[in-house]
Amino acid sequence: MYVALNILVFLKAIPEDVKEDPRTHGPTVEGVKLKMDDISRNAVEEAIRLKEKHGGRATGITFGSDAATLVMKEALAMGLDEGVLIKGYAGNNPSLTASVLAERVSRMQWDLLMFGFSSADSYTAQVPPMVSYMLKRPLIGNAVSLRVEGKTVKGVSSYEDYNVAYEAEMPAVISVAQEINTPRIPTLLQIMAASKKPLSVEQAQAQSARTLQVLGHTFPMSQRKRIIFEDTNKGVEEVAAVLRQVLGK
Amino acid sequence: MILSALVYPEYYGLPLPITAVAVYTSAIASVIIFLVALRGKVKPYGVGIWGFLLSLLRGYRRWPGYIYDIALHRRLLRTRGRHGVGHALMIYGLILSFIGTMLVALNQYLGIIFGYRPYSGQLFLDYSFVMDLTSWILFVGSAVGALSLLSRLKNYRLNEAASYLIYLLGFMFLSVSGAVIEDYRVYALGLTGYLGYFPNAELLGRISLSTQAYVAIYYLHFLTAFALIAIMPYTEVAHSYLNLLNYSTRERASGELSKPFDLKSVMQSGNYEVKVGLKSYKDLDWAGALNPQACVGCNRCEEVCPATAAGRELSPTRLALKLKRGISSLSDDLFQTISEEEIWGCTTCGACMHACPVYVRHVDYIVDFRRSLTFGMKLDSKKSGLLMNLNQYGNSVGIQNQGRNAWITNEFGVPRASESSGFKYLLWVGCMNSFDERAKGSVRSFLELLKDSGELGEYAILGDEETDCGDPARRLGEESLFQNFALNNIELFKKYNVKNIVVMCPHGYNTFKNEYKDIDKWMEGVNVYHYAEIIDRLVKEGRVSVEKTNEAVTIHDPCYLARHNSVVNPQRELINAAARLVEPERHGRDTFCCGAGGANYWYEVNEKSRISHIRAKQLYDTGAGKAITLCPFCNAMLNDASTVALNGKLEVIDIASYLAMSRKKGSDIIGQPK
Repeated sequence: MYVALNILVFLKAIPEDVKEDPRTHGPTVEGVKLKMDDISRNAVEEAIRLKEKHGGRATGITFGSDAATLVMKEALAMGLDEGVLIKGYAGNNPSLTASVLAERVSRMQWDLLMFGFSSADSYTAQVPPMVSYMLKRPLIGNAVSLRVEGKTVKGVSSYEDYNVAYEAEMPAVISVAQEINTPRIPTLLQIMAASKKPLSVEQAQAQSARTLQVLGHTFPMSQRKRIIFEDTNKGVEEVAAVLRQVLGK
Repeated sequence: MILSALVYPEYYGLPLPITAVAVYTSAIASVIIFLVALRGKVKPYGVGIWGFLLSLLRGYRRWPGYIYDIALHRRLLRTRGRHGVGHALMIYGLILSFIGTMLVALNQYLGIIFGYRPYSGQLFLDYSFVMDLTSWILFVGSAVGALSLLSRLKNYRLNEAASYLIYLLGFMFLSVSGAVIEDYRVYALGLTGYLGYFPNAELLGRISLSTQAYVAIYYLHFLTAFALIAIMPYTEVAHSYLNLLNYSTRERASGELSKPFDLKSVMQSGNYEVKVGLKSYKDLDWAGALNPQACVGCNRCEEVCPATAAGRELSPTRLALKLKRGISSLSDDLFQTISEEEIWGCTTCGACMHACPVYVRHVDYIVDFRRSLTFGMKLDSKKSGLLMNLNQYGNSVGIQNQGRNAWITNEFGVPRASESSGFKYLLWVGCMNSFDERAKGSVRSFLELLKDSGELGEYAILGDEETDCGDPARRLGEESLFQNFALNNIELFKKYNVKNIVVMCPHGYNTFKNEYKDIDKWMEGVNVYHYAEIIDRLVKEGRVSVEKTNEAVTIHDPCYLARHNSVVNPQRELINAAARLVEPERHGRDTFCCGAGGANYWYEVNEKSRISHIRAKQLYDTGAGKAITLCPFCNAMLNDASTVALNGKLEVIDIASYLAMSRKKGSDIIGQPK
């Protein structure tokens, strides 16, 4: 028996790419366009699939800036019913993000709270467990499959070498792995049409969470050989020869 | 009997008034039944009989081309020629019979009104001879038709096969009964002195026929003819007029896709509820609904289709037949019989449309199906990946767009349009050519040639402002993204007052030339060139001198250049100037796809062999060790194919690189790596 679900799904707008700052020669994301975080996309997809199967509503929530509006519209175009944009995001700070989100959803009715297990820009994977802890609701993390039965949610979490099947009473917090599905891609026209769906914009409640300070960004150091292979036709042979030499074979 | 007394014996041996009334009543009845039947057939698609006939008339400018096609039976003879001969004989037989019938009618009216009977004397004898031959032409043509029908019986349902057979047998009966009637008359009238003009009568000898039998055969003869006209809309032979409709309503170039909505107007109106794609017969306009109903399942499209050749699920013949049956049975879900695998199997090369003798536009339907899948968000990860790249990076290869053409400015000093003080040609480099190392070589060669010719100073590029032309998005079914690219690009072209665009890829060439003017009429004033056309001009003007060698070289024509845009001469003139050209069987407008078109470069479908391998083999089999390409995608596909399937024995070279190597003064070429 299917019961209509009330799903909240978090999505993050992240920079499309990292550029080299011409002044500092360090990495920068200034002026880089935003896109929907890859794993958030899977979370949105899974939320929509559950909604399509069980009925109910799926609401997208993002903590970001005005620039995230387009990303939210894309999620709405995929099939979310409404969006909430919380402004005030000022860089990677998982505990702050978690407390902002936890505070916001504590004022809402929901059965499932869904995340991508980690965002593709900062890769901390901390927000879902923090929110779970703050709200005192169970977490099924890094889920590769999900099923809702009555008032319980069943999920399979993927670890390095094995999977664990969990069951939790709803409301529950879920973070999904990228393998869980292939997200749908809305067309540009559908993204434009999504402007007609409700999108509320609000300012984040001031949070006094212990904050993590970002001191600076650098590119990872690597000792590169800097060998350039120019002849694409002989490329593979030449590369193989160099590799053999380096590996001492 | 004296010659001048010979007159065609209309209604010979039959009472004139009754017979005339019978003939004319059934003639009029047959036309009325035909029109009523036709109305019933076209009505579900929202067109009346007048609308239908008017559309045929409105296309009168196209009739000469149509008549030329039919007179020569060009498309029928080019592929499956033996079957085509049968059809040609049948059509010629019918035309000659029609002329004969008209002569008889004219003879009768002029006789009644003016007492003048032109179908007499020598003319009567001569055309009788023609009609004797005609009955053979029609008979043999129909018999060959029956054999062809049997050879592809699996294409048809029982009622379809039966309806063809009714006509074929009907035509054979008309030939034989006509000969018998003539035989009876010749001997009864005592025209034995002129038997040389009546070879059939001579051949048959005097058949002993009772008057009743003669009358019966006479009536059966004309009733059969009229019945075949009357029932046409109910049968497969409707293709005989639907093909004219398809020809008359063919307004788009073959490389130009339909525009289901206008993005700019949609954005202005704010009404995003537009209908895109094809699922039900209701999604088609009436001409679109009737177009595939002309299909007779002749297999010509299947024979030239690269997807079928590679063992993909798609056969354009089966697709057209499924469309025909689905639409004529007013199906609301055409996907019941047509699979996604078929729809994605198409490379949009257009070989099917160019082979089709009844002018079905297969690719239009395939792209419309893709539109409904794309707008239904039903794409697999590879196709989604292409759309994400186009969305996020503004190019099809998914590499950051910034700095994409900096190397051109750095190495050759070609200015960006934003920094140029005035340029004649805008060079559209293209995605592949901007990022792919091998493809960059072709661009370098082309720029070398321009430098040699002294024309390089007339060029500018867009640099970071260059994005995607929109071709892959449109062919994947993402119409809004295509139009968005087009609108942005046209905006740039306007900003820099672009008059001439030189495109280094046939896909951009086709879309700029044929599709952009439908997005903004301003594009009609812009000349679009493929770079081979430019090199050809430079060589002709003597600005680039080429040394001719005896090397055997073959050309792989890109579908979007040769077939869809009929650009076949420049590349041949160039190769003839530099080497010895050896043509593969499939060349020019009949070229065979490399397998990359229609966004196929970015995704996979199930197949038994690769299209690119088949093509590489065809090129290799010419005996030429080198194949010239005119498209970065063809180049990449065939290069890989040569490496994987031919041990690299076929050298695949871009035309600019080959010409750069053939230059007289033998300067160093930075071009394509050897």
